[in-house]
Amino acid sequence: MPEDKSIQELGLDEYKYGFSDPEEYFFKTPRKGIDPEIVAMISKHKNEPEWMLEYRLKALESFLERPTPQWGGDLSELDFDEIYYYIRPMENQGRSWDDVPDDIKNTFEKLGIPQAERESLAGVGAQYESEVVYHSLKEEWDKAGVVFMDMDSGLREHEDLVREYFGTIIPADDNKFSALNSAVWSGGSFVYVPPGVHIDIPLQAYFRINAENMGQFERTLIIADEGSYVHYIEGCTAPTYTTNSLHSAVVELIAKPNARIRYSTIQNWSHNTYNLVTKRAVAEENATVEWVDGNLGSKLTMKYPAVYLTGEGARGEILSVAYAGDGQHQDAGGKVVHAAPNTSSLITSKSISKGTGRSTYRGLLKVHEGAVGSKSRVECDALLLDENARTDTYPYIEIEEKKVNTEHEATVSKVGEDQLFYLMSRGLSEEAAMAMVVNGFIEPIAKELPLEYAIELNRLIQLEMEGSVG
Amino acid sequence: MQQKEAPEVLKSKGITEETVKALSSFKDEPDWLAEKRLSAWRAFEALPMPSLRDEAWRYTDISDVRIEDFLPYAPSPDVSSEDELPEAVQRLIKEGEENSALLVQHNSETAYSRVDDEVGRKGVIFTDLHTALREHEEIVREKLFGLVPEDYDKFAALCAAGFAGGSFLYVPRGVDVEVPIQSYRWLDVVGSIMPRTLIVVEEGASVTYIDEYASASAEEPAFSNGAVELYVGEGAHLRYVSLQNWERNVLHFNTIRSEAGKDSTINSLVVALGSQLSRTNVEAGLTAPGSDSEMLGLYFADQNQVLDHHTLQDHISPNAHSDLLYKGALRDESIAVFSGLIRVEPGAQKTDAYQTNRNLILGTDDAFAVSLPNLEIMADDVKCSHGSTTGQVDDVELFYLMSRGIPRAEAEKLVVFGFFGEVTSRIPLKGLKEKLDRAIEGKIGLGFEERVA
Repeated sequence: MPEDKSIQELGLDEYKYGFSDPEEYFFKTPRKGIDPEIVAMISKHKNEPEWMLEYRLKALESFLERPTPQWGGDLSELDFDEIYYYIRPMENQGRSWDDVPDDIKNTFEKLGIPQAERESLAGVGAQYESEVVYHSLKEEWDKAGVVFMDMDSGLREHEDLVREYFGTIIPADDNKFSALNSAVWSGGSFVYVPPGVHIDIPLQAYFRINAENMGQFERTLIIADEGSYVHYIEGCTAPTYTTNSLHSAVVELIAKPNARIRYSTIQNWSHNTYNLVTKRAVAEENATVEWVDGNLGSKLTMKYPAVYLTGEGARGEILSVAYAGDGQHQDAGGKVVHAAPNTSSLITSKSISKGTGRSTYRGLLKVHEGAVGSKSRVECDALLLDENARTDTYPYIEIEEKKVNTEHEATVSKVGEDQLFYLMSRGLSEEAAMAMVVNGFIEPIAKELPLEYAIELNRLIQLEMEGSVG
Repeated sequence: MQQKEAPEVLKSKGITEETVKALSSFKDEPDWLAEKRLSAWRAFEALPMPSLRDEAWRYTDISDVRIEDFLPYAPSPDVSSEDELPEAVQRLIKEGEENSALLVQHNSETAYSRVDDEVGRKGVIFTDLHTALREHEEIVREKLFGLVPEDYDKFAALCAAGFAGGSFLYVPRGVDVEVPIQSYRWLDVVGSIMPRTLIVVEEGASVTYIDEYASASAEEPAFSNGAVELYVGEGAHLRYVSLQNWERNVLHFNTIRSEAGKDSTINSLVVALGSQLSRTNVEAGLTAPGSDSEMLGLYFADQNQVLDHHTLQDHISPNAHSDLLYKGALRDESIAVFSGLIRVEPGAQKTDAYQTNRNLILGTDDAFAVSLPNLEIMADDVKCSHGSTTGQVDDVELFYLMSRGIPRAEAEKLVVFGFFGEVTSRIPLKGLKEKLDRAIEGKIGLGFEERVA
């Protein structure tokens, strides 16, 4: 981004956060790479409390100490010194649809989301280069005491609440990438739903990366208090660049007794992005957490949404769909840990590999001693569209309790020639028939998404499949 | 068999380069084999001892395994007829399948072997490895270490460097051996036993081979480390059974790998009942079009046993079929690990592969079952699926049986038999099935009646 624009041109005089130092409104780390100085700069720029700076610095140590994982995807080309760890965008936070940047609107356009529906996308928070540029909270949520804001604002306005829960589900030193995120996090969403409040309309946020070599490290924390309900939707679109970028988010969900959280994601990163995300939820007594996770794009995705069932009667559900095209590796899956009696879980994974794409299901199902009456089912289906495509399934199943019932099943198949023949004999082109079969394959996941996201997912897959038959 | 006195170095504990050399010259081995042993020893020294940090060993703690505590070699008493064998071995033979050839390895040496005339006349060779080396060097040299090479892993390297005894079976083209061939490994010293099994079944031939492991009860740990190489030619059929029923002082390591000719069939059954710790790798290579591999496994862990099976269905050629079913029961504080991989290599189109692992947890809550059914698919025209379940005896099934007047303990026994029946019903060997049933019954033992329902 140009560094010589005036504050007026950037519209920063309207900037609502009112940082103490206006010179700092527009800010990018002075150099690539990461060290304590860079981390301190980010923290200072955000005017954070001392404890957060300390948290970041400690996380940095852990990041630097930890080796790059040797399992999963190939991370050998990922160069941590070639990345800007913080850039603040030029836009300010929009308040209406008109303020949303054109590229985001164009994405809606491309995905064929009708205007009427775009209007109904009130409540969209769009993250633009590590910072939230658009938020519009519906009044009734305010009235109900629901908090939905970007994480930076959350830290300023609800410091005690953030401090109580931040990093409790995913400790900074959980893994190399959660440590990195904890050191340089910026943006993401903070959601708190008070006891008994049901939010019917999903909270939504759009993210994208559009500065070369820029890491994006959003941090999301969602707390659903007792008996509440919230559905949060995160979606990503990213234009393509020639050098690798890194997206490494941390998402923590806490479902208090009898609460329910549903977290839906459709991610479509550009094909040179490393998408390395840690997502974990805790479900207390009789609470339910559902992850609906769609992964397209990226060079390599490593993402295993987890649910820890810590209270009796808790339920976890993970629906994961992955599409790996040429040169892509989707290493995704899910983890469920049964740590209380009468808990139940379901993992459903669907993957499609095309061209030289590779999709991997990697999962853990663990039943701790004492989690009597746990029931769990894992289903993985993989569809291969080309002879060069590859699919793997690595489910770990660890059972320490006898009064349980766990099942795992996986199938791998190619698109049935008889299915294609049937559709083509009725006048569909091979390409259209193929797309129809694939859409049918992912339907169990798509039907769990709100309409516009289901449409988006289907369209994204159609865009990916264009010219796939030859 | 005439035994000669072993050199002193083989009578002291620990395995070193010196013992490897001594073993080789004691056995008058050809140079190529002496060199092979040494290169295997170097591979063993170079490879780190597996630990919980290794993916393939993350649930199997072998940090207590001290190879230096074991005798490298233990002679076997001289025996000229079956009725001079240890009584326990005679009992095993009596309880087993009827056999047409028999070999008993007692500690490090072959104590006794016999091939029925009818089978011998057809050109079937069945003898210990060193006799085979003297009489059929060419084929042994060609095949030995071909499937379980010295660099396969730490334990395979040790077995290649320090093996003794072992058996060689050769079935010529077109020969059908109807009655099973049986080998026993018997251990009654606190030592090590490192048998290698080499089986070559030529084109169109068929044979059933049973490998059985048993020992005299002892306190001190003993060590069994084997390698099994199965070559099955075009259109040939091999049924291979490994029945591990060591006493609880034995640490058991074994790697079984097979190579399959066009349109051949291999049925393997791997049973683990005994030992303190048992780690078996079973790898079926679907190396030619139309080859077919049935892989059955049965394990029952109790007390503090650790029974670990790693399987591979390696689809290299197109149009091959593999079907794996491993079922295990666990009691007490035992650990059972199943890790199975179906790998379909690029170009192995029309692969048809299945893999199922089921665990039944009985008795207390301290048992730990791990199941890792993995797939790696690099061809697109395939049918592959796998399944894994872990659970307890179904209350509905118990209720059904008890409502018909069967006492609870008996009902549970029936359910467990039913559970294993899915495996045992697929084995056409009556004597073996009865043996397994008795062993399972012994394992179920009294655990149930004592439990508060």
